[in-house]
Amino acid sequence: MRDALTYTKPLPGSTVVQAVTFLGWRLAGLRGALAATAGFVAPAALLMTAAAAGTAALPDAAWVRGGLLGLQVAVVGLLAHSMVGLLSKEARTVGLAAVAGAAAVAGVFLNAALVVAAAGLAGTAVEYRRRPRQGAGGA
Amino acid sequence: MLELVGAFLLVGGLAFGGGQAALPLVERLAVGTFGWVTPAQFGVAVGLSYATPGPVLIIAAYIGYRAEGLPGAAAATVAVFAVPVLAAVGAASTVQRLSTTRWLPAFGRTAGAAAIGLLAVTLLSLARPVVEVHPVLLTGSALITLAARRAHPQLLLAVAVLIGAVAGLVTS
Repeated sequence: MRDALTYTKPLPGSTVVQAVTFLGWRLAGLRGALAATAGFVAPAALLMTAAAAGTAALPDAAWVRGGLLGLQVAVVGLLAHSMVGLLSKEARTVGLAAVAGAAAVAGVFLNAALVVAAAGLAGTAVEYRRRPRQGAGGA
Repeated sequence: MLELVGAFLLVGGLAFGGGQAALPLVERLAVGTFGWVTPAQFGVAVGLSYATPGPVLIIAAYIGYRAEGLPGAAAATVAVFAVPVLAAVGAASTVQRLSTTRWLPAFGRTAGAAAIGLLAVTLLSLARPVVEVHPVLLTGSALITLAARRAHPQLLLAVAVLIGAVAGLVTS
């Protein structure tokens, strides 16, 4: 399990799903990986699709509008909580915190994908300037 | 449909720092660039992806459904997990070394930090429709932020929906 997290953490994507894929592979190769992933994602996807259809079909009543508004209010609060948690976990150095701050500002004007990719490239460049030609890693 | 698949492939490929950190990307593309959902609908979708078991990026199914119906939901879900899953398979087999190179972790760390910073932008765009109804509602959001340290997100969502529904009934 620790292997699953060590090897999938640096990769892009949902960490939980990747851990499931990785473990499926370890158990039964490619077929295991695909089966484990499908088994994990399919129920959630079906539930989410049903929820999308359900909320689209809701009547335009006061209690529905109120309930959906309540959901949005809660989401703002929950996302703020996750953001604080992620910041303290992933942006622990001054440099990374500065990147997060700069991205927040840049994100208002620039394409989000561009900001993420540019930050990644900058991080790679800094890593190589700091300790050039060390180890076997290739770019 | 091509745009839908392309957008979610991109989201999956750039989701450094986990699913939650990819929400800003989803928001910019689905609300901003393509207009598949309104900001309010996006807020509801994030709530549902928290409330349902499984990964947060399953929000792709919701947005896919709103954009292109059932085929859209299926296509967006496959697209958003395609790159991460293939990468995980790769990590488990031949390119295990990729994760232990220096450039990919360095890329991921900084890209992840940027993605978390972008959450601030997402937070603003989610808060906007709430503020438009009434700014005081943000007090509720702040209370939820504090409560989230102790209580389960699903419980908090359920309570918020219930209070909202009752308030809707009473004030109508």
